[in-house]
Amino acid sequence: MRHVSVPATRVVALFALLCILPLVLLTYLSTRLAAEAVRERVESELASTAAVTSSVVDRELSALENLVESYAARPSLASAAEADQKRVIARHLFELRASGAGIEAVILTSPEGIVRSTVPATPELPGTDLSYRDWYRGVTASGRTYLSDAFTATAGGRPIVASAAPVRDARGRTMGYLAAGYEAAYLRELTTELSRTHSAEVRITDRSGVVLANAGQPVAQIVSRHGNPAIRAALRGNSGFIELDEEGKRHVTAYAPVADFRWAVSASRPADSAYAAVGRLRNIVYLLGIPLVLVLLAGLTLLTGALSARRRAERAAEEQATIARTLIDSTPDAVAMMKSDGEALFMNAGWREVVRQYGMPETARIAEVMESAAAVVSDPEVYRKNVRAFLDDPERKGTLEFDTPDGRSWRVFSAPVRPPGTPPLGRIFSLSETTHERQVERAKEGMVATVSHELRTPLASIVGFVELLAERDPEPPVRKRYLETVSREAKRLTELINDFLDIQGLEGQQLRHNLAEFDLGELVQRESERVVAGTETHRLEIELTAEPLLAVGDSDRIAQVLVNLLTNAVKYSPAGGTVTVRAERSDGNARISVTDEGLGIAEEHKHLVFGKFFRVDSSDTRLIGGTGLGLALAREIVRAHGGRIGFESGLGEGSTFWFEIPLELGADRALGQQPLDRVQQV
Amino acid sequence: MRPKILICDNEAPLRDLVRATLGDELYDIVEARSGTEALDLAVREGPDLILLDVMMPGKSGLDVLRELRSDDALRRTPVIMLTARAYASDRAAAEQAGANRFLPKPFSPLELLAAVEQLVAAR
Repeated sequence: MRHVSVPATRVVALFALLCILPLVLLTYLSTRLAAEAVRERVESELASTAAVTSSVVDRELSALENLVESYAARPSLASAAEADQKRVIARHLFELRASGAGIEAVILTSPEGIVRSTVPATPELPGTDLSYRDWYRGVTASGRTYLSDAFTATAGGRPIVASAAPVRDARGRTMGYLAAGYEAAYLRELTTELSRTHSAEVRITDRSGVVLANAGQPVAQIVSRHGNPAIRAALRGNSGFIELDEEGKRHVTAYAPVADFRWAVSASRPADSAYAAVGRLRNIVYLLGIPLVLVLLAGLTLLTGALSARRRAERAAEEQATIARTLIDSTPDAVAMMKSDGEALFMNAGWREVVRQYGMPETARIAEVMESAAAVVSDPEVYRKNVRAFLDDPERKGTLEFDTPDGRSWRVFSAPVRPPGTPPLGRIFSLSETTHERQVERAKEGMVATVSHELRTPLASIVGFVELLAERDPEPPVRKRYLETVSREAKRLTELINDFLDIQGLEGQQLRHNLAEFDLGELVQRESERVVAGTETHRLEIELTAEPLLAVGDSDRIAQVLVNLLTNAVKYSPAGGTVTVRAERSDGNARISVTDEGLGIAEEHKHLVFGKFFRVDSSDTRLIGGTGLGLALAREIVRAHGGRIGFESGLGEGSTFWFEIPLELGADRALGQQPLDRVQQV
Repeated sequence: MRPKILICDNEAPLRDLVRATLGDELYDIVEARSGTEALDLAVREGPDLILLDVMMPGKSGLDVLRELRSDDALRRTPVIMLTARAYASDRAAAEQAGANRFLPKPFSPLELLAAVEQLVAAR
């Protein structure tokens, strides 16, 4: 099963972005809107403080001007000034000083600015020329009541302002100027009070920007704040709002003019306290928002982890499944698994192949396939019975062997499929072909039967005749005949056992012993004469090379091969004739051939010639004799020498048996290195 | 008249042994060297008993036995199987094919003689 591949981390990242963006936006907007609201409120509060201050200052200064003006307009003061009635003047000045709040001192000057009288009385002052004073120049220039800039009074050192008005007689002549010094104590109290109630620092300056009142601080000297943008703007007649750094600290300031006098007032608060509410809100938003974002991120991280872990697990499972499938498909067996109801849980490639090969129904019902296979097996009755046993008993486990008419053999293993600790889930059938095993098995069985037969046959004669001798005690001629048979059969049995053990020992083995160089020509000469020349029925012809034919090997074994071929040549040409033995060089090998004029070998027997216990005409061993192992043994010996053996023959045309062995043992022709055919022919 | 015994074995010493055991003076012994020869002789000679070797080149003793049993004239002729194969399954196969006795090689000549006498007498 294949899953659609989704890069989990990318999806989660997108999701995180979609979640966090609005959250951040919300945080930003809420703090921003809150800041604006707070700012508006602060602005309006400060602006109203400034406005209140401005109107109070205006009223206060107007009252001062009106007072001074009203005293200056007193006819009695004008006449007293004209007549220089000092006591009257002093009384007026005293009354003026006592009449309004904040008047520190009152002075009457001559029209030229010479001090005539002061209250409180200052002995050194009368006669002093004050015409340089701002108030004097202002009042003389305008000809009407004038409010001066701040200046330092000689007495205290604190900045004061003076309101001056001309003193005129009934005819309008100027008799002098009345000036009242105003220390603005009241304004200071006012600023302190406003500062307290409005939580703002209230400040009042004159038209030059000199601070007259500064909330909570005594004004000790003349300091111009003309450079301050708020003051400057107010002095220009504007009112407004500004944020400034003052004394290293951010302040929000509202300013307003005192219009009639072109003074300025300002009200300010340190920005941090003004916007403290914004800060608190922001803190709350952050307090809520940041954990929210963190929780969200943590959640998403966990989700990503879980998703990728799941993907990894899925991939691993997929890989496992692929491995399992590949594995099960790689076995040469046909494997299928069915549920308890017979439906397929699984079929491997081999299973489908067998189902296809035998034309069985292409169904998903394994039980049905197993049952229908009865139609293609050699023994349907037995097969059907065994398959039924598997299908009927869910616990049954075992194997079932059967053949198919095409000559193949099969084995089915079947067992319940049971995950640990559960009832059977179904059943597995594993079908493997056993054709080759069965062939080998049959060959082995045949071999055992043949060997048994070959050994028991002479034994039967020996045992039988010995028993007859013992039981019947026959006459000497009969006894002699029996004993001859026993002796002959015992000899035959001995040869048979020797050859058989010989061949068993040689099969698949390397030749290890008695390796030496020997002259094949001489060996051929010797053995041919011994075997063939001894018979009276056959003529011998020998063809040898001019030089000695030197070969390396076990000369006794090679002699055994040659003798075998020679005796066969004699044996299978019962009518006699010529036996021709030829030794020659052939392509680095020595080739020995033995040709007879005998019975020859039929085409259908040719493949059996080198097999064990084969006799061309074995209908009567009395005629032919031999163990039936000679050629098989010869073949093993020649092979062990790294050579070849073969024959040409036709029925009734005689036979030529030949073998080749290497003349020298080259590096590439080490003895016994040629692969041997291990399938025995029976 | 002596009972006629047909012995079929490709091994000459075995035929000799049977002949020596039964005795020419008591039985008329006919020898066959192969299954085919045995069937021919059986039809021609109509023996009173047949001794069959199982393992022979060409037609095996069991093949011969099956053919004998499917021949109306020879169906009832007693047959003793002589065989070097002595497994129970071989004996079962021989009995199923209709053999009267089964003697594994090597056998005791006296046992063979007893079996022959018994079967011939029963006819």
